[in-house]
Amino acid sequence: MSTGDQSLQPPADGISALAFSADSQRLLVASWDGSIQLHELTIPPTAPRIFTHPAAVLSVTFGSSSNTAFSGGLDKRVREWNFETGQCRVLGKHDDAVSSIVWCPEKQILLTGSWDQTLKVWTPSSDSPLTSSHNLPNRIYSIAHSPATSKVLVSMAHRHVWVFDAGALASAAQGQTLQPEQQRESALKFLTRSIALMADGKGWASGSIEGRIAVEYVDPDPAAQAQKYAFRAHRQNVDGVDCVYPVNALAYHPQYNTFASGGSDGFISIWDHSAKKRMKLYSKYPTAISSLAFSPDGSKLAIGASYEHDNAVNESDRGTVMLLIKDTVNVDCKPKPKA
Amino acid sequence: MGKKKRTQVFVLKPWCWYCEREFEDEKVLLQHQKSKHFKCQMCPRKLNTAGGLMVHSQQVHKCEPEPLTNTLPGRDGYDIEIFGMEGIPTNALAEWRARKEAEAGTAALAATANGKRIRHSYNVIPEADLIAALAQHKALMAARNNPGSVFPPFPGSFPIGIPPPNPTLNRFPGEMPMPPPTLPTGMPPSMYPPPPGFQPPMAQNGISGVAPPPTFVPQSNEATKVLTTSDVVVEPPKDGVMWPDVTASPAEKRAQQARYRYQSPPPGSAESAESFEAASRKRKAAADFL
Repeated sequence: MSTGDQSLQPPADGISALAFSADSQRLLVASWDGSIQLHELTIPPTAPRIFTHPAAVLSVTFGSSSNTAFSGGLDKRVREWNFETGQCRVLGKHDDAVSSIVWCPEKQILLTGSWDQTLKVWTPSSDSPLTSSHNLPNRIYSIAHSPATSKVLVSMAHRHVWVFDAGALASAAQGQTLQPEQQRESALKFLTRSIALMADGKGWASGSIEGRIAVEYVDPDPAAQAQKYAFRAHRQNVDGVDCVYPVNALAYHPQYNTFASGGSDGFISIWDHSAKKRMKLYSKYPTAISSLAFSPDGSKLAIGASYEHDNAVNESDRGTVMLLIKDTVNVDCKPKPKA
Repeated sequence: MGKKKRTQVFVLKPWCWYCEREFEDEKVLLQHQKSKHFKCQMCPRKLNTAGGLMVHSQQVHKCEPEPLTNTLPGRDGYDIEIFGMEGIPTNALAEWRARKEAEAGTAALAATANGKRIRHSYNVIPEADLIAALAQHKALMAARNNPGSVFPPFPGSFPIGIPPPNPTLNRFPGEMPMPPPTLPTGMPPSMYPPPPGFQPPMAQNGISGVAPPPTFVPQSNEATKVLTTSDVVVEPPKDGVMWPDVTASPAEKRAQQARYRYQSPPPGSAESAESFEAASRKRKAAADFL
């Protein structure tokens, strides 16, 4: 089977998260097989370095340099990795699986969200890394962060979406109840599956389990709020039945501010939210798209394709795991000049 | 609105799935496939398809056929019957088309595009490159005939800079002959031992093609394990909606499956983060002696 993408050695089980280093030279892959895999993006591709965990890993991010990373997963612990020495340090733990992990480079803090309904703030460089812990109304599914505006977006079960300021999170003391800047409800009627902040930080895109993507803006001004909209995506007519697939992955292009979406139907689309147009639809992948990440230099799109355990993939393709790099995104994601 | 659609005449040339070469004519493609990929290595006979070659080998020479010749890595199998453009996996065909269209698009926009895309070069290939490619090919073939040597035995040291397990023949940087995603899944992961020192309890993951992930519950007290897979209720698709459940995400349900379930180590061993940390520090000290 041939695809136009460069393929890297995939993990043994589903891909849960992808992260590029700031220099775009390294790619971290978190997998349900209980490992994180560090790929050097050289030509020709080399075998990744594999770091194992006692349970499935759900989230991974690079830290202050491309030699440090943080991971979390079903074993509830937040781990710091040093790739120079291969050392692992457990920063602390949550009471349930760590579902999302985000590094805020401008504040040098780490944010972790968990199904135990707490958001924790860590300062990895200090001896007691846990800075503060915040109780939220429901299980956290994903956290997004925009260095451009220092905003942190937390999406939860029951369609909660809260907006925090990274500075406020960094300075909050333990025990202090921090009010978010905004407490919003998702514009979509169904469970939020994925979320991504715009490159300019002015708004975000969120995808639901019911084949729909919403574009919303942070600015509480009614004029800005009136611009929010939602549209249907990742649907397919199979044998006369309109099949509706979860939107598993969203990622904004760091320069062009257009975004890619990937669904359990195995399709990846590139959208221009300001023109309200689809710019590109890539051909179907044999299994669901689990995760997408643009490299910070905007030249590559990393694609993790694997079955998401959501009924959307044929029995026979459920074991397929693919890890691909698409390097034509600089062309594909460039907004068309307005006519 | 006033946007003019660029009228582009785009014709997809016949191409060979085995080596991704394009041809002017379907006839030439057939000739190419016969002589390059479906040629018997024991006699001058050329066959029309991979299946034909296999039957020929088995019946005439009474032996299992050698892998197909001159193919991109991973495309030397006999399982796909290809004759010219017929029988190419639809997925591969679609992807190829998309790629060619993109290339045609970029060619038209060559002035604006920043020239990142590397296209096929039909210039004379420098001799040095040819020699290097030949050496790589020889290594690949040697590795194939002698599988034991493909993956070096475990290096006792830290696994930095392990040579790539599948040397690829890329003369043009950026142009990747890809192994098909189905092929090398998880062969290497178990080959590289994790470096000593950072290993959390679970050390071994037996991996084969589509291996189940490691079992995360090496607990002796089975009595505490009351939940079974049958307790995980996943709502079936309803009215075409693949995930009608609005109370839990697919990942949450997945995490409840027996094979992903994680049990904290019993209290006292490594329950607290502190002792976990201490343990890793201890290992670090041990590793220092190595």
